[in-house]
Amino acid sequence: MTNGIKLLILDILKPIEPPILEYAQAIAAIDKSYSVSLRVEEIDEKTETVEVIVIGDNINFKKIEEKINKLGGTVHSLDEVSEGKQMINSKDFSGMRK
Amino acid sequence: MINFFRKILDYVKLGISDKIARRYFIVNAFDGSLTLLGMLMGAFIVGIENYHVIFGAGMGATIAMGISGLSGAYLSEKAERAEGIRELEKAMLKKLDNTTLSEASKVAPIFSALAHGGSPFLAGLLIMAPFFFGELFSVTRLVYMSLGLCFGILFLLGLVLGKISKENMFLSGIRALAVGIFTAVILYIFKI
Repeated sequence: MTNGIKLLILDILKPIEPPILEYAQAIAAIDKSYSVSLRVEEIDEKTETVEVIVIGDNINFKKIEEKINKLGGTVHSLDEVSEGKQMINSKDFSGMRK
Repeated sequence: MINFFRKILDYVKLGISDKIARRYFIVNAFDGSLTLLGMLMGAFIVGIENYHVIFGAGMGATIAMGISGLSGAYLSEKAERAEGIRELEKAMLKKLDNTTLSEASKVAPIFSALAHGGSPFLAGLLIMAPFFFGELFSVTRLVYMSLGLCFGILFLLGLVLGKISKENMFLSGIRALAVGIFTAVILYIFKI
């Protein structure tokens, strides 16, 4: 049995409208196991950069990207992924990294 | 079906077009009411005795105002939305076809058109309502009733404006009514 992706952190660029609420709802609606968090990191005149964190079982990146594109946003980078039996929070290991 | 309406509602929210639509609904209803006020005053001063003439002219103006509002608003709003999407595409550095945004930019002009065209049409229809029973009353009485309805609509629009701006609603209503009365007096003085 594969455990799939458990954590996904994305960096997206989106138009100011629709607000991140819509994005959160759209992504969370993909699967019942998903928990979603969005945080605005930078605001420009017409766009904003948002960090998207998704936690769940077997996270489907393609579907999430599709939803983001549908709402007018675009995935800039895939910043963190955790896959396997246990979810790893990279912050717990950040001391080792630096 | 419910989903369809919810989707439309989302689109309207997306475009923040409900406020604009509300504004134009009131502006155009005002416009329509004053147009018919002018026509009624004209007919009244000249002393037209056949109510069919006033009815025909009034309904003609009402329908034309409706169509003018519909088409004009649809075309201009559509152009504005398309421009907005193009600007956003520049900022996003990508095409926004087949996104909720481009879909919203297609639906919003329809709402705008309904507000633009529907409001003068409804106002006109209400003001002309007594003339649907033209045979029951004398022409003078019909004109008085229509003028009364017209002033009533103006007052009501003023009330709505007062509610929106959270000012004194009654005062706002009186202000709108004053515009109508002022117009009527001007027309009467100049015997147009």
